[in-house]
Amino acid sequence: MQTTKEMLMNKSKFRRPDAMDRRGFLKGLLAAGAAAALPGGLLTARNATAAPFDPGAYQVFRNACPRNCYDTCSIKTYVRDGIVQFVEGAPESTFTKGALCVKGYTYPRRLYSPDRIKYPMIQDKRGSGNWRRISWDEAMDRIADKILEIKKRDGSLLGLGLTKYSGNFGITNYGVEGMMSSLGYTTRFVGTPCWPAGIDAQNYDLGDMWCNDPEDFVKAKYIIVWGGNPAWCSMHSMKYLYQARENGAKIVVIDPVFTQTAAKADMYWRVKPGTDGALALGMARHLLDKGLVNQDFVNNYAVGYAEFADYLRQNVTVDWASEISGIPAEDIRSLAEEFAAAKPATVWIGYGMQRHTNGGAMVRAIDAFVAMTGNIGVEGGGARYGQMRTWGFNYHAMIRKQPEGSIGFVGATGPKGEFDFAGESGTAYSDRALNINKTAQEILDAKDPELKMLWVSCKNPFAQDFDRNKLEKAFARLEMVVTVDQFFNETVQHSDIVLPVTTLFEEWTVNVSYWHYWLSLNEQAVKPMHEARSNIEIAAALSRAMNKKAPGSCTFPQEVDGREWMIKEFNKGVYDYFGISSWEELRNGPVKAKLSSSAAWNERVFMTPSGKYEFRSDLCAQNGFKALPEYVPGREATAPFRLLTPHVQFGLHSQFVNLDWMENFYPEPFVYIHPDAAEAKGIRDMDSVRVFNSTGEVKVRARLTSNVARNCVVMYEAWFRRLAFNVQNVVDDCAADMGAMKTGAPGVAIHDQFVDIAPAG
Amino acid sequence: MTPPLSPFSSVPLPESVSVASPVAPEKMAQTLRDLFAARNNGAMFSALERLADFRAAGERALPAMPPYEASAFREAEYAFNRIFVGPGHVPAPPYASVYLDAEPLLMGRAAVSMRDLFRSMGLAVREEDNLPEDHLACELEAWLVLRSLASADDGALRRSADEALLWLLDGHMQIWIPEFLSRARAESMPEPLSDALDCLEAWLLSAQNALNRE
Amino acid sequence: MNKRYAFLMNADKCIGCRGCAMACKNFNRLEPSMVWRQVYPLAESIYPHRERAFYSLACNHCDDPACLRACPTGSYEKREDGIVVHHQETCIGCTNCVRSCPYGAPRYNAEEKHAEKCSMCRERIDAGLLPACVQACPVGALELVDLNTLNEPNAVQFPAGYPSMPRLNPATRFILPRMPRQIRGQS
Repeated sequence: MQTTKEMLMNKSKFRRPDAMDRRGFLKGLLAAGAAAALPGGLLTARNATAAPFDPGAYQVFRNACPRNCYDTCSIKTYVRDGIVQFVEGAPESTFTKGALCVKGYTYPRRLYSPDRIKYPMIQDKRGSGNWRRISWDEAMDRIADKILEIKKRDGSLLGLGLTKYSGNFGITNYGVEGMMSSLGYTTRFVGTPCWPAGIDAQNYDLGDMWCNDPEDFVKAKYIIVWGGNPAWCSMHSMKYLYQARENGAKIVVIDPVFTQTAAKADMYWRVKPGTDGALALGMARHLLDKGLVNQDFVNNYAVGYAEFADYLRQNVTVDWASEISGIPAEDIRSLAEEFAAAKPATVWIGYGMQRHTNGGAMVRAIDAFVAMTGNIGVEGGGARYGQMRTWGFNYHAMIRKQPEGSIGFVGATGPKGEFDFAGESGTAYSDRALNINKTAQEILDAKDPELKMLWVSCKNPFAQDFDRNKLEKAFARLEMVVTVDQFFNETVQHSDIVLPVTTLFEEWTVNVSYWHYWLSLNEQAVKPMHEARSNIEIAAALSRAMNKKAPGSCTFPQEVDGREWMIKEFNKGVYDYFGISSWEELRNGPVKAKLSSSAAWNERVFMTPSGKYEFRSDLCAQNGFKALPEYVPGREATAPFRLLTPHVQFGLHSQFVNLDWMENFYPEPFVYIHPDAAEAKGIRDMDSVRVFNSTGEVKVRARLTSNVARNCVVMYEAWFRRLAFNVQNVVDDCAADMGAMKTGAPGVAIHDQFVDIAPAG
Repeated sequence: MTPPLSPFSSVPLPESVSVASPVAPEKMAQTLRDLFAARNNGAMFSALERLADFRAAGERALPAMPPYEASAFREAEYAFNRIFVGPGHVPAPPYASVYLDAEPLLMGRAAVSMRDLFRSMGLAVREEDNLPEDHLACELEAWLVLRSLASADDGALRRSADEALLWLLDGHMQIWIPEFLSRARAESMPEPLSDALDCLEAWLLSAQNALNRE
Repeated sequence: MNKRYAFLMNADKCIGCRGCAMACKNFNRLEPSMVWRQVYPLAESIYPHRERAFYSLACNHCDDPACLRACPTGSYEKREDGIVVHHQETCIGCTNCVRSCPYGAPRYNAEEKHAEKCSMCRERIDAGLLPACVQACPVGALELVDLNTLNEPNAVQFPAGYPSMPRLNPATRFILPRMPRQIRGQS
């Protein structure tokens, strides 16, 4: 014993005396019959031996990143002793190609963070910070009591609302919507803060949002990345752009900000925000003037071209486009000529484009420019925005029947969404749809009945919804807020009950992208930590509580098996589309859709009412917009600086930036301002400043850079666990033009925001 | 008087092992275990009350003290969750890995070695608790079980249990619990909770003394 | 002929995503405060646009490593294939290496009281795999190359902003970042 003790003393300089040799006593305890099983191998200090890395020493599981991201990476997870050791990109996917991103590599930190929400907890008085731990049963009893009380008071469950969006796109997580349906007709926050204006625009033009396989960028000879920053937001796509350039393509980036993608381009255009439509129309006019229009396409595969050409002749000149957009006329002309001459040529319409009051109109103008060059339906060509072709699952978790006799909303068709696959129900009642982009106002305005209870899942409204100050007032109206999450964010702070939800490593599901064409299995790699449960397990638990108190009050199954429910999402259509015969093949790695062509619309049969590409869309006119892709001016400035709040590469909306490893690389947010503008305001580099408007204020330090224009400031949206930083303090809920047709609500003009800036006193 | 084996489901201890009647460190360890493993405030308040009784009885040479205010337990519960449980950032997570491993994460080497120790004794954390094996409550439980084995008739078992106790205290709990305590004490908290932390410190000292005597 | 392994850092392709640095932490399970690979934005005097061009740097696996010469306990090893390995188990934490390396590759780990640095994931290379950082680069900006066979006319050894230390002869090679033609509409 003395010798062991001495050894311990000698080891004391190390922080891990825990790694001392325990072989002796472990065996002793075992030999004496007190034990049941021999424990696994003992540990050695890191790097103590130079043995080659042995992948065979791990159990490898298949996972998929379920965040709202183009790239939706396929992940390989290495597990030892039932513990996730590290993760890497799946090499089987040519898109992921073995590499995750800076966010993906932090996933083990999320799983094992000491700060994870571990148990169901209840807050005595919302916002007090006085939390008590409760059992799942007690949490569900309280929630079920409240739901039944609302039903009794109102005669319906329209006082119960759900707000959910893109925190976890794993298909079984649509079980949250299923849970709501299984309770009755409820209130849903519909639409999306992201891409709806562009979805509708492409639906008017093409009949659907459908893009080429991004891996076919390598076939392009000319690429315009327009209003997107893939170097940060789709970094796996960059390798295809590089390869295209190595094959001789030219890469042009058009963006108000000199982005990281712009720095990698052959040419960068700084366009005035919100004038991209004018720019596209100016280029279209030049095609017309120069006789560069692809007559085969506009005559044989399109309708309304003659009217559009008339519009261009009468209303658009290159000089006019130059005046509006700030791009010199000769550059507009030469780019239009180069684009028309390159075969094939393509535009990637990024998700910055549609976040304007004229966003849908701008997307339509760009679509029209690409269509005039005959690049629609061409491999390596296309006006690329996104696709939902790979999403043909059963939505078994989502599609649930209301209990018999449920009363709902009368007179509307009910909520829609780009991920809503339930279709029309044909019943007398429906859910009540409120606009997700006006969450605060809609809560304040909801009447007959008022919204009394809100369920929040896969979403952090306080970080992502607009006009944070108003949201605070709106939440004060609610009688109960239940939030399902992994970390203690501002929304949890404003909740009564918080429920811990599983990470990707702890649940079964299946994932696809809205950009690439790969399908990934997400296996449960480890058993859930603490008392975390998946969204469908939570739904089952609620169903048990509801049915115990009021039999028949909830149709959601009372027991679910995550693996079984993942399997139930598959069907023959999915199997055929991806060329597999069983989901189990996905255990060997992700698979790609068996596409007859890498081009969308390769048969040039469109899903519009005419079956052709519609330069003139009567449907668009019926919905209150121009039939032609005409120029629509943007939102009037209300303060000296335009504010842009795009994505940063270190986070995805309010996720990832709170993790300790990420704090290494991204410890602090900034407002980026042009040096000339800063000088005029008396702001030096790294000064603390106030960014403010009539909606609210953000305090942050300034970084001076000519990457932004003189009349523009940029703050990247993120949630920092230790900072009060929140860009939504100064972003209002002004709507974008389009989006209501396909997603149930118009988009939101996130990039049509205006602020002033001053040194912080 | 066999110590109740919550939070673990276990293979029963061998018949030959007689468990010594609890002395102060055992009683203290059980109560502290109950406090940190509490799943609701009933269990938590009961543990806090028993800890208070130890103090009132003058055990462990802590000064006797007046009874707590009525609201003190509720305040202690809030503070306990703020400091140890969540849902927010917890300044003093009660997991050895956070302190002993290079990375302040759960499920590090410390958790694996504790799992090995439990397996060697034929024990496992109860499914319904699902606590990582290096959670403070589990480590206190491990100490209790090893103490009971250390007075076994079987000499080889006794020696192994002694060695394991030495490892658990000197190589493990003595290293991380002081840091855990100092982090926790940096937070403001009502009396029942600060008293409970005093009990934990006192227990650590007495457990160490007991080890040194043997 | 022996290999001489090196990192080829293509700053023309690098998008500053930090995936390499995070993959290193992920595979080697580094403490939150420790980094073996870091991505440095180039000063505006070198590349005129702030935070738009980068060097991703780890240990340069020098021919004549300053760390190795400075180490009193022989904790550094220069392998035949060029990789410079640091052995933490014999390191006494004297920090001679930390002070002698002009590239800041070895770092002192105050928690563990020893130095540590990039080993080019030799345990992965020995198993026929790429270093974690190289595998993690989504754009092919970081490559593992053999200097004895490298045929890359644009590669430079001492780009602006990177200390020129010919005697140490660092193995890392660089390709310089491009500058796009720019049209900046006036507001």
